[in-house]
Amino acid sequence: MANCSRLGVMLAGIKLKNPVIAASGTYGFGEEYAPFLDLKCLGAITLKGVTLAPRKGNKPPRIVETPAGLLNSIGLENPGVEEVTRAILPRAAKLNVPLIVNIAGETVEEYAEVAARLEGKFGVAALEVNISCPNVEKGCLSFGSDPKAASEVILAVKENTSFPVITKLSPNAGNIVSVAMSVAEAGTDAISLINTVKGMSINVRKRCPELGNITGGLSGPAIKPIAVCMTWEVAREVKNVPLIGMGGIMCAEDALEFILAGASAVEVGTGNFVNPRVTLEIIEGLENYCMEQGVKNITELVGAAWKEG
Amino acid sequence: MPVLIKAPVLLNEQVGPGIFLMKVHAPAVTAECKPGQFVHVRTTSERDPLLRRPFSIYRKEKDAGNLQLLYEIRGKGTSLMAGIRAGENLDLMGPLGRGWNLDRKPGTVIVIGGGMGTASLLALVEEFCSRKGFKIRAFLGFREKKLVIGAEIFARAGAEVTIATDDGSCGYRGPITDLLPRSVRGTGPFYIYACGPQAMLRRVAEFCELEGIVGEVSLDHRMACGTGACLGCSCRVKKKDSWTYSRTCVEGPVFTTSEVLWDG
Ligand SMILES: Cc1cc2nc3c(=O)[nH]c(=O)nc-3n(C[C@H](O)[C@H](O)[C@H](O)COP(=O)(O)OP(=O)(O)OC[C@H]3O[C@@H](n4cnc5c(N)ncnc54)[C@H](O)[C@@H]3O)c2cc1C
Ligand SMILES: Cc1cc2nc3c(=O)[nH]c(=O)nc-3n(C[C@H](O)[C@H](O)[C@H](O)COP(=O)(O)O)c2cc1C
Ligand code: FES
Repeated sequence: MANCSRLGVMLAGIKLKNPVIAASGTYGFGEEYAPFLDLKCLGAITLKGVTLAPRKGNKPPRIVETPAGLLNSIGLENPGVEEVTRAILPRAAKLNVPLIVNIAGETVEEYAEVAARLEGKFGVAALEVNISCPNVEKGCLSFGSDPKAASEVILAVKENTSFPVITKLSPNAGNIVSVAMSVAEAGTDAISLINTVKGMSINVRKRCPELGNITGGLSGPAIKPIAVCMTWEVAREVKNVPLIGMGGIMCAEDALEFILAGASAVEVGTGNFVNPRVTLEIIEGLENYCMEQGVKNITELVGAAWKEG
Repeated sequence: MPVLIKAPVLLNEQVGPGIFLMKVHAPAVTAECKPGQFVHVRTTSERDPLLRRPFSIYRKEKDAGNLQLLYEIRGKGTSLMAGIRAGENLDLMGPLGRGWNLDRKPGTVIVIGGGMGTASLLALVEEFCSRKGFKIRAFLGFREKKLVIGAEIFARAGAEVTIATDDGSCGYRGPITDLLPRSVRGTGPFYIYACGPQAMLRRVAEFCELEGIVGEVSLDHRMACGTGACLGCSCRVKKKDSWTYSRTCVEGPVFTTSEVLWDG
């Protein structure tokens, strides 16, 4: 990247080269994409969701494509926090890019315990607390849809970590703004949004649901307008906590929509499947946009769409 | 290491009803790829269909650096692929996945292909034919005569070809697995490789178990990333006394008949 200073951002106390982050669950533990791009160019990488015990995940088929979208029901398959800290984090730390560890649990205590086990681990820049996975039966989303439960999770995690805490919100929460306000009060250092939108698809020939888990979470371009709108709404109400926007980002213009709506950074998920180098193209596009528009640092653009309106 | 490239299309022509052969120039892929691996293809620059589509490496022309894909029109992605013309580029990632086990002592190689599954086996046949001391037999099954594609290419490569069709319009009528030689144990090293519909692979696995040998099968699962990052392509495999999910795109698409757990 020629000149990164225009894109450098501070987010929840972490210094990022640029505001483009790989989204959890779409980037494995980072190394899967190493053959296709120089990972050091990314702002950060968010790792696959980690739980206390290993999880096998849901029954296949776990993915099905829908128009301009992807329905998934992975079900948080992961090797558990012990294996992640023992074998995976030391490898991922060598990628030389800030790592955000995405954590999930079925109970408040589990979230707290996972955070505690990750405390102080080398290479970790922040924790992203997933209270928004639509694909697990217990916990997770039930915390994300209730402002009070959400704040309990965040308080417990904050007590067990010195890393900055990002809370990841669900579009399926009854009122995402009130959940956002509640976790802001509980002391979250940043908010990321949105996780996938609950959905399903039926195979009319076989007359059965396409996914083994019946329902799944929708991602990709199909959900972008929902995600931009939620970013806008939360940004207007929660002014003291930085936001990370995501949902269907495929190019620099998409990323700019989120930034102009009030996000300080963006995560890119499904777009990586389509084009493994999409993050680099977005970074380049943001750089060019700033240059053309005479923007000295991208932070100037955060929420510019409502500040001027 | 896999690469992400825009490969110039040299040829994309219909070779059967709804079946196409595409040849692209992709030296970075042919230099590395092994039989049984696949490439992940973006069929449009638009957003629908969104995801890439996986295709077996049908053939590689190593010296020319060309790669051939054999594909059947199934839905949106493959229809769009059929419309790509020579001179345009194909956006592809690869080679991906674990290919066929090639580390074999001289013996008999049996490949069993069903429909488009044959696309994953030609490169394997060509590999063993180029070695000394291998006898290669290809058992190829199709729905009907019109869809019998590539049989003469397998024969020309040096395989003894046997054909079956569902309707009997060419060769034996019925499942190709009916024709597999029995009681092969003790007749020297004997290797089984199969790719095709799940029902066929399952019969092959049963055959292997009866014969007391371990064969290899290539599984066909929907994929998103193709590179091990999304866990969308998981299939069940045995592990010690239990089982685990394994990624078809990384630990597969080739698995041994003794490790796959057949669902349903
Ligand atoms: C490792 C691997 C290698 C493959 N190699 C070849 C090859 O060499 N030649 C070839 O013709 N095909 C091959 N396939 C299958 C090919 O990827 C699919 O036919 C293709 O993705 C269909 O895309 P589409 O957009 O045309 O169809 P879609 O519109 O996506 O689907 C059409 C129909 O096919 C079904 N379908 C789609 N993808 C798959 C799949 N992967 N498995 C089973 N059913 C599916 C859908 O459920 C739907 O009913 C391979 C698949 C894998 C996993
Ligand atoms: C296959 C897949 C797996 C995912 N796994 C996780 C996960 O483990 N934890 C999490 O917080 N979000 C997970 N997500 C959600 C994404 O991080 C992201 O919020 C969502 O996909 C929207 O962004 P996108 O449209 O750019 O993909 C997953 C998404 C996909 C497609
Ligand atoms: S397709 Fe993503 S892990 Fe296999």
